[in-house]
Amino acid sequence: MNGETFLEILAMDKWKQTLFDPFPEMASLSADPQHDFLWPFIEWATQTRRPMNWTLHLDFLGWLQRCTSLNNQQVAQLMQPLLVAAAHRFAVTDITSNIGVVIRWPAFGNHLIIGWKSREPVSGCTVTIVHWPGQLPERAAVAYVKNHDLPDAREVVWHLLTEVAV
Amino acid sequence: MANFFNEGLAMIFGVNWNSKRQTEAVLSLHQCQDVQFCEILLDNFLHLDPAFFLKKVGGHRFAFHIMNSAFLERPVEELQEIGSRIKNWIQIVKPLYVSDHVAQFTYRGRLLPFPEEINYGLSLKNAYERVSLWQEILGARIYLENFPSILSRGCEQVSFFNDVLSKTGAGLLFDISNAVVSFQNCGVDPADWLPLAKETRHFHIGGYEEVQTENSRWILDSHDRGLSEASVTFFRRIVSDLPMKPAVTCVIERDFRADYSSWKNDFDTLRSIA
Repeated sequence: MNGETFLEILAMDKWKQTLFDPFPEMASLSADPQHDFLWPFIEWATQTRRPMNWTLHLDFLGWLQRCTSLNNQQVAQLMQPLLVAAAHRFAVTDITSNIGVVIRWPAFGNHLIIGWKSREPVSGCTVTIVHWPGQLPERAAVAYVKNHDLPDAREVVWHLLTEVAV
Repeated sequence: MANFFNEGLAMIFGVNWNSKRQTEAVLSLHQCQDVQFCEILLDNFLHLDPAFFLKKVGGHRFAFHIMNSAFLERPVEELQEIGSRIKNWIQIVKPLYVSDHVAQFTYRGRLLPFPEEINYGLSLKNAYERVSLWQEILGARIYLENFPSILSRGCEQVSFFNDVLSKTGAGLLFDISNAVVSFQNCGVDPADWLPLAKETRHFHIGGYEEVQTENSRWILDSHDRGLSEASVTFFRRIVSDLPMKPAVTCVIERDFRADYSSWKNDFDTLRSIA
């Protein structure tokens, strides 16, 4: 095996870890040969030029909803873990000045997922789920938050939410 | 800084602090005075106010390691925005050094699963320009870390670093175990690095993993275990060749399985040599 081939194998392993390690539900499901999602998803993501950054799990969720044989109930069970994984990945990988990300996912009802970077040097990042009583965009959307103050953040969420294609 | 230089010519040892995962071990090592400084992965702290950071964990000396600047490929405007915040951290925290990575993070605008080694021959002109630009934006000398090569392109790395460092004034953050990894994967003699290693004052060393495939064996820079005998031997050679000078640092990197006692063993081993 040459170095290039070895790196290709490593790359698939890394995508597998990145996608599935945050939650055991997906790992057990994908262990079933009938549900080998990894390669078809990576192939789709490559063809459609998905950015593969923190939005990876949002893309994966959208792809599961559209492109697999999973039934609605199975996808519904994976929804929250995938949204949380996306918010968490934002919080640990993003190096912009944004402090948090707000994710709106239509099938998740009137709840928003917010991923927060750490508040202090010795604390970790957090992901919160908040109920939003007002109207929300009909499509998937994200907003970035500039400070750790949740009430203020909720005020700006509605104004900042930008629809995203997933 | 004054205390630092008062320590004379001895090498000082540091830990890498990347995330909450290592915090307990890092703080324990500091309390036991086994380490003299802490190298933070700045990416994971950059959203905090540096004055607030110092207020919370002050009393330690820090160095900065940057992972995801992607300074060789990121659009200049974004680089300037990130760089202005890093510059603020540099001015307030006054790190021992600022280091970054020579690697490729994206391909055609899409994030790679992990940073890949660049094609040195094709990247030289861009590297001159970008290293200079990055130093200018940060207002600081950058120490660039050598890559743990897997591909044969790793054979061109020493020559690339020679060219880029001499033309830009950047420094080398010499990762001793990465040089061992490059030797085992693609045959680059670690001794080729010695002239550059003697010129620098900043070192890394960490554990690596051996992966056996059907018909080949590869080494991965995994930072999840103690130091190999080969790394310790090369460390000994570098230390014996190193001209005596102040402010020489060495970080023993541990990202995973960062338990105190195992990490401390590595400190004891290297301290007995340096």
